[in-house]
Amino acid sequence: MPDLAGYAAIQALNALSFSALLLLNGLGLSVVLSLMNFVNLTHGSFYLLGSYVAIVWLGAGAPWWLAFPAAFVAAGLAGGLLERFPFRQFYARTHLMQVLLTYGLSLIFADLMRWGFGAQILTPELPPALQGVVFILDMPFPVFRLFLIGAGIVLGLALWLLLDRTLWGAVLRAAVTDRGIVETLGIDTRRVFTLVLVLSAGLGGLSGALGAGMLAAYPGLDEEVLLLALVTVVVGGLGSFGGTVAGALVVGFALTLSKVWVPEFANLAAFAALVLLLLIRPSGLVAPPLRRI
Amino acid sequence: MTAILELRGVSRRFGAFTALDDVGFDVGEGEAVGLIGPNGAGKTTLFNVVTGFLRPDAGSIRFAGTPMDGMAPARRVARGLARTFQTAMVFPGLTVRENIAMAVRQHGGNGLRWFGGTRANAAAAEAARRLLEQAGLGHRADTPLRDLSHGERRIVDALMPLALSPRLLLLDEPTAGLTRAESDRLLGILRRNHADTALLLVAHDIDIVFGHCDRVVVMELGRVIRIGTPAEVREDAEVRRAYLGTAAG
Amino acid sequence: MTRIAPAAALLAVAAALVADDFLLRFLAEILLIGVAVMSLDLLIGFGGLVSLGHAALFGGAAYAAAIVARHAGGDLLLMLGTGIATGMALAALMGVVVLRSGHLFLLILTLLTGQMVWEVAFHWREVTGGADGLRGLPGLSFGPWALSGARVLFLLAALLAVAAYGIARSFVAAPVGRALIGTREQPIRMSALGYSLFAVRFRALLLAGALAGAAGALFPFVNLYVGPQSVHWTQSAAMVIMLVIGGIGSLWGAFIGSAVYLGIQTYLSAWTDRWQLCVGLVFVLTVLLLPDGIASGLGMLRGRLRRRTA
Repeated sequence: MPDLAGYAAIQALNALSFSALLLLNGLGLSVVLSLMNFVNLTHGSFYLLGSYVAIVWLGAGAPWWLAFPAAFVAAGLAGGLLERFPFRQFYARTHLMQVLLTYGLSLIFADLMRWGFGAQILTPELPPALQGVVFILDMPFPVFRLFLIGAGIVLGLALWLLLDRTLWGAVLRAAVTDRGIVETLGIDTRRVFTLVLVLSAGLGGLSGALGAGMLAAYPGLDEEVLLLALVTVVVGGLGSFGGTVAGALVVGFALTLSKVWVPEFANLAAFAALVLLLLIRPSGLVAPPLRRI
Repeated sequence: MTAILELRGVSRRFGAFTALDDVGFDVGEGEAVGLIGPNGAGKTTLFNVVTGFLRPDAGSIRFAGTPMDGMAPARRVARGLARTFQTAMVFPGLTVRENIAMAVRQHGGNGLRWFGGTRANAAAAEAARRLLEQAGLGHRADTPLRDLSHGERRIVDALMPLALSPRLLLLDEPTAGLTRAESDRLLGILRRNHADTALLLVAHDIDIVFGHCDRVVVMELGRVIRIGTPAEVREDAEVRRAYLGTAAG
Repeated sequence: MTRIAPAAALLAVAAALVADDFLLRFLAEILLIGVAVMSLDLLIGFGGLVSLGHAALFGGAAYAAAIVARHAGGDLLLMLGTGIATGMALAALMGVVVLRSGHLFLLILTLLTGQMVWEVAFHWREVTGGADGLRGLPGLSFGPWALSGARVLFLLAALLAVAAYGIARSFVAAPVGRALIGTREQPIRMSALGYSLFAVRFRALLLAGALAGAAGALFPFVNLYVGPQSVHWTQSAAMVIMLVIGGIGSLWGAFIGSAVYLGIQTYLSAWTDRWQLCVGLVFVLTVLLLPDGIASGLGMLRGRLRRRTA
């Protein structure tokens, strides 16, 4: 039955493109949480900033493929400034204080972005290369979403290589496991923290730039994306690249499929399914081994 | 003497590292057994496994004849198996009496009580005071715990599980940082005032162990290398090697 | 604090006599939300459990009361019963999900479960009115008497606040409350003494749900409206900041924090378009400058005065 197969393929690809976004967005949050034990609720703001930057860039007629690095840089810069003040002073403080600080900052940014970019829904002007549809099993599928999947795979792979195959990545993974020992090797973990936060913000902005073509950009999207990032991290488990990949896939598929099966209560159904998953595995799919005493 | 704790073939690994390797020994009712060994011997890991904070990879643990497999720590406590930790886990903001009362209430089944709470609190406070008097700390009952000396703090830390009237108490380095006099005082309280409670006691000061324990278990690198009376263990060549190295002839 | 009670009562009566309708409704709102924030203090201040889903308990009860009222009238006891039952039921569901994980996951999972309540409120148009919320509610009543005047509502809210405070104080002083504090300070030790951490925390959560639910039940009748914003996680975050402003662990600080935050929010939104930015600033400035809250500041002041006069 070609129709059913084609339909299923399209939905799977939809889910994958959404998962790609969740992966790139979730990685930044996961690393900051695992390494620096820092709850950063401005993460959604970086995403939205990246979306707006990409939309403005693409609308201005500049080379389209530079929109994504531009978003990365803009968000990374914002992250770097925030790291300098006030984030750095809050790494040692309780999660409660971190939540309140970063949430308050996200309110400020949300309002600034509303002021700067307006309250209506904005969509990017996609370049001709990314417009249109391809036909998969006789069903149309947006080229842009294929691009999203491709970008997700490429960037995901690049980040994995960075983490797994480079010295810098080894330092990062070691610091996640035991910051103190890394310090005794003479490595300044504060610089690692700064770099990680900048990278996390940049990734958030980049995922926003990529996501603009799928989710558009509007005030309030930052909160929705933040929630999705948190859910991805929780479902996948902290402290590992594979965990975030697993989380992104599960959440992406859950939300996409629930929109198909229960369109009225899509989010509720997906969340309920994820909650059930968490009841079985309270520390996420790929849980780090914890030593309590 | 009936055994209150029976360990057979207890093993536990962390990845490639073997923390416990086929550990087996008994602790008799009311007996005081010392557990000694160099750092990294697996003593704390053994405590965690026996009290249920860690799952063993193999072996059996029987407490009062009942297997403890998979039983949660709180349930083991309810059966009379209590412990302390290497760091004193006390409530610094509460008074000494309140610290002990926290244990007394749970032992009396009042731990989660709301209605009739005032009466339960008063009863627990009274029981706590008696325990403190016995231990010679009655005059400190209403002092905030953070104002206590290190030695007094350690005593309170040990009195908390003792308030549960356990049949076996595992003490993880209770005399760390204490003077000889303070250590003797603490062990004296344990042995005299609570003679029904068997003890499994980890200590680095060999004289403390030899002075107060009926038997000694020696561990090294996860394995039990010797069990015997203090006198036997003191003379044992293996034990000397483990502690002092092979240099001395 | 026994000197506070008659002073507060006097203040309440004075306000009831002097204030105008608008102010009375605003004060009622402050008191009701204050009760919810105080119940959150039980979780955060005494239990060390940071919840970002507490608004779902409060708002969920509000919705339940409003829905029942539309079908069966606004009898006071019926409303309170509905609110308390809903608050406790939602708290129980939340507890089962969130209490199995560590503190960080608890933070995120309370956010998630709270948002699930929002999803229901926002999308189940037939029952909850969807994005528009519910209007056209019958007024509160007790037997033959209507309780819809601003003055009566304010006095009801004040009575509830006092009762809730007393209940919370009693819980905290009781063995179960002491155990809750114990699980916050030394969770491993508490396990080693035989306490079930889940049992202690679950009880606290149920009580918090009951108190927030009781307050939530009266909330729709203040302005005869309930909307999905009242269950959104951002509202939960606002409750947390109210608690911090007032002072974590003080219980009564919750009411101060509620008054300060709601006062600022109302004043700012009338003054400037950029009021949300200012609200964000309130969050940031509070954690930077006043993390211990007003209650601790007052406590220190009292301590200093005592030493001076001693």
